[in-house]
Order: sequence, then structure tokens, then C-alpha cells
Amino acid sequence: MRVSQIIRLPLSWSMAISIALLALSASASAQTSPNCANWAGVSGWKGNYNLSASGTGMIGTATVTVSYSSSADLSLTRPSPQPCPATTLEWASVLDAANAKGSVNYKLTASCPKGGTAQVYLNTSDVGSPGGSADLTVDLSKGSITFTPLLFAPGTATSIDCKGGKTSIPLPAFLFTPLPSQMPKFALPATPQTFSVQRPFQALDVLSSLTLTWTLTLNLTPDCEIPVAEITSPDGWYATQYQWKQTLVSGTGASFAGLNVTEVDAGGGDDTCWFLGSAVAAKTSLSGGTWTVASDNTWGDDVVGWGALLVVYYRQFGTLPCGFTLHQQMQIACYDGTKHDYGPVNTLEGLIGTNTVGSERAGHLASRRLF
Amino acid sequence: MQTKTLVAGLVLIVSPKLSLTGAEVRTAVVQDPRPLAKALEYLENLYGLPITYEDPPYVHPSQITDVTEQVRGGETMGRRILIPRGGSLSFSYEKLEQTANRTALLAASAAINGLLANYYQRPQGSPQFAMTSEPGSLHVVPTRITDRTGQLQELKPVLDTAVSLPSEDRTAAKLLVDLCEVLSRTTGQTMIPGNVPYALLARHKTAIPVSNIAARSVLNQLFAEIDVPLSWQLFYDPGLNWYVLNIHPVHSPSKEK
Repeated sequence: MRVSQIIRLPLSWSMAISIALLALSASASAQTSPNCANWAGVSGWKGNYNLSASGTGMIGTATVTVSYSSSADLSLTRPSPQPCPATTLEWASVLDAANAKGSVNYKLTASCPKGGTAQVYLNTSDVGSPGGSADLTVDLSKGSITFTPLLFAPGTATSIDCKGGKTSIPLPAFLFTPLPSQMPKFALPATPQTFSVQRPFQALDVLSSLTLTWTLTLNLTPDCEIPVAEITSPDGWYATQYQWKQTLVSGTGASFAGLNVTEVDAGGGDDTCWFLGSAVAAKTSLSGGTWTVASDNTWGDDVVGWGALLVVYYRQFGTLPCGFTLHQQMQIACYDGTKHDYGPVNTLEGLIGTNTVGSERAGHLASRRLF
Repeated sequence: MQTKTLVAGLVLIVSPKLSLTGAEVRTAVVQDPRPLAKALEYLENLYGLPITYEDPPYVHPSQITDVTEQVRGGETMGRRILIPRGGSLSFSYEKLEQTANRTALLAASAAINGLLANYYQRPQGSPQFAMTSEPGSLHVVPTRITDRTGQLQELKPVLDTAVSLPSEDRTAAKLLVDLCEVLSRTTGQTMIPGNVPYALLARHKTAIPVSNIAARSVLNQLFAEIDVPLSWQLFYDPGLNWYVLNIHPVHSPSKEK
């Protein structure tokens, strides 16, 4: 979409207040970008923004003084699935009276031909007229990230003419925020992460037609989606241990690339190879391995089983078959560091038989013969 | 006086004593083939700081017991299962309300000193140990053993052995395997990695230079690089004459009621 609507309100003394209703483009092309998978895994952003501006200038012979302040709590989500490859990714939310607040001071003063002054000033009631939005756009091809708030408010423009006559005109909505094309662009971090910036920038105020210095303060933390399932697949033997590779399953087709998954001990471990006095400590709990999810949503290997030297150790004593059983809860760490359980508790087993070794993860078994 | 079992083989005796600092002093008795290791493990959990332990080689028959029947029952396959004779050991420690690092280190040091003093009261011929410290961790190492002829001998702890390894980037898991191999070659005594947090160690890449430095120092340097606090227990199998290097994460201080 482009600028969708411009309303001009004619007032006295041939001056106008321009009100723009704008929305952002959500175009995306099919160009591949190496960062796409990482950023497409961000299911949403939470945080807040504050935008302020003030300035004084001349419009013709009139002096205009204007200042703005607006802020909102943000919960940006993907408006639609955004599969990779893509060049732009977008998250958005409605900006209305439920989450935003703001104020404006606008005053125009002009000298009257016979002395004295005429004035126009603007009052706002509640901010957050329909049509407001907050939009975060990651442009992977340009390596930039842009936040664009569009906040509208109804108001009343009051003019006092040279004879002291007062006229009030209701304004259905006027724009509190700069033109989207003039919002600052920030350098895109290498990976999704908490984003906190404060940046002054120059942009046109459509109400006064003055170029103002705005200051944007933005704090956003990425959310991640929790996998709905995990698929365990065989990935070959590593001596006497088996390597299991996992694929995370998204409910929406999102990518988990770059996120870390961690195993935590879910309790109830048992080691039937161990005996009191054994030089090998009992294997009854998990130590908490961490893996990074690859671009195809896989992670691993999760190596399960007894190491070759421990197989040799326990085979000396004639106490076979024996093994360990552990219980593993997987967690995914979101971009803000919070960890979330996903999937059921997995049973891990490592077995030593008289002539075999075995490995089990989440119901998948592998065994091999020893010589 | 009350008693309760804290963990298998470790009984707490609650008696209303206070230390000079006003902290409650508790006494526990541990019964295990390696009572010192068991007591240190308990203190490590209690104070949340690494306390490593190294077995001496158990070579004199008075220090070894055969548990083949208990472990294997009637099964006749396999070699005899020999373990350290062990026994019971009592120790006292301060129950801390807050376990700030320095406070915990002081309390743990005091408890270990008492523990070693009690250990020396054990039957003649028992191995002797000493405590050493590094920033944030404590080590208990063997200093004297009874040799095969029954003579008390000075002992150089096996992890004091100076080792060298080729310079290369390796995972922590690989470094442990290489360290055990070089120690086996250097000392002539088999050493293998035991129960270790493999997934954690396999992920960590290290380039620690290992050139004529004590094996213990290699472990300390490696653990200092890893963001999960780790500790080790080097156990000796008197039947196989093998050392087994076990590594475990150290958890936050546990609350003892």
C-alpha cells in the first residue's frame, strides 16, 4: 500500500492543516537471504515505544509552535506466515486507545493587519482513532530494521480571528507520528535479540508542514514459538554410542534456526551397571547438554549409550546385561533467554549386553554386536 | 539428639551446637567404600562449590574387599570384583543460612580440615589425604598410602603428573580422552574417562596449551572455561588397577532442613 488518504482541512487565512492517513507496504520478494531463517523464527515482539517532537517555525507570516508525545505498549505479531526465502519480514499490531497514549500542543499565531493577533490551536481528546498500527519491518536485503508507528487522534481545531471571533472545527483524526518513509532505519543485528534504541531524527510533521526533530525510544524483545513436537531420527554409531538427530516441528511452519535447545533431567534415573564401590560413578541423571538448532530445524547429535571404555570396564565383571535409564525433558531458549519445555519427557537408555550394546531415545532403538 | 538419613550411606546427627560465628554446627556419619569422597560430595552439594577428590591406589590387602558375591551372586563369569574396604567416618559442618562464595569456601575448608583430622583416627594403614585450594574450589588429594608390603609411603597424586599434548583445537570431551591417554602412558597406570557430562563437554571447544603442566591444572583451566561449574572424582579400581575420571556439574547450594 502507498499513502492511502490525505485530507486537507481549509481554515481561515488560507492556511491548511494536512492530515495523512498512511499505511505501510508489506511487499516481499522471493530473494534468498542468509539471515532469513533466523529472523523468520521470531513469532512476535513485546516492548514499548515513545516518540516525541517539538519545534517552532514560520508558515507564511504566521508562527507555528508544535510538540508531540506518544507512547504505547507493544505486542507485535506476524500478520501472516512468512516462509523463507524472503527479503522483508514484518510484525505488526493495532495501535489504539487500548495500548497507546499521547498528547499534542499546536499553536499558530499570525499578526492582524490592524494590530493584535489571530490564533489557531488544537486540542486532542483520546488518542487511538481507528486505523492506527505499529509495524516492525526487517529488510534482509538492506540489513535494516524499521519501526513505524501510526497513531491517530480525534481533536478540535479552534481559531480566534482578528476580531476575537472563535470558531471550532472537529477533526475526525489527525496523525501523531511522522511519515513512514521518514522513520529512521537501524542496522539489523546478526541474530534476533532484544532491541533497545533511542534515536533523534528529522521528519516532516504533516500537521504543521514543519520539519521537526523527533526522538524515538524503542524497546523490543523477540518472542519465539514453542515447537509442538520433535522427531527423533537415526544418525549412526559413534563407537558404542548411538547418535540421534532431532527435527523440531512448528505449528505454523516457523523456523527455530539459531535458537538453543537444552536437556534437563526429569528425574527417576537408574543405573543397573553400577555397584557400591564401582570406580565409575552412577549414571542416574542428565548433565544438561545444549545444542543450537540448524537452519533446517534439526539439532544434534544427542549421543546416547555407554562410552567404549566404560563398556570394557563393566564387561570385566560378569554383571551383564545392565544399563542406565534416564528421563530427559527438552527445553527451547527464546531470544530473551527464557526457557520453555516442549514435547513429552523422553526416556534415554544405554545398554550393555554380553555381546551387544544398545541405545534408546524417545522410543527409538539401535543396537549393535560387539566382538 | 536426633538422627536422620540424608542420602544412602550418610546419616545426619542433629545436635544443638553453635560455632563461633553463631552458625549451627551439625555432625554426620558416612558409611561407604570411599567415605571421604562421599562426605566431600555431601559438602559440595551443601555449599555449592566444587570439591574434587582423588583416590589413592588401593594396593594393600587391608584396604581392599572382595564383593563379588554381593554384586554378582552365583554368576561365575568375569573377574573378582574388588573395591576399597572403606568404612565409616564422622564429620561436622556449619549449616549456613546464606552461602555467599567466600563464606561457603571458609565453611567447607573448616569442615574438610575436621574431616581429614577424623580420617587420621581411622585404623592404621588407611591412606592419608591433604586439602589444597584454588579460587572457588577445593581439592582433596592422597599424600600417603600403605604399599603392597605394608609400609607407609609418600605418594605423589596421579593428577600432579606433568603432561604435554600436541597443540590443537579440540572439544573438552576430546581433551579429557587425550589427558587420560597421556596420563596412562606417563604413569603406566590405566586411566579412563568415567561418567562425564558428555553433551556439555562435546560442545565446548578449547585450545588450552598443555605443555609440561600438572594434569590437575589442565582440568582446572578447562573447567574455568566452561560456564557450568564442574567437579571431578578420580576413583581407583583395585581389581583392575585402573583410575576412572568422573566429572559432574556442581549445583546451587542445597537447603538442608
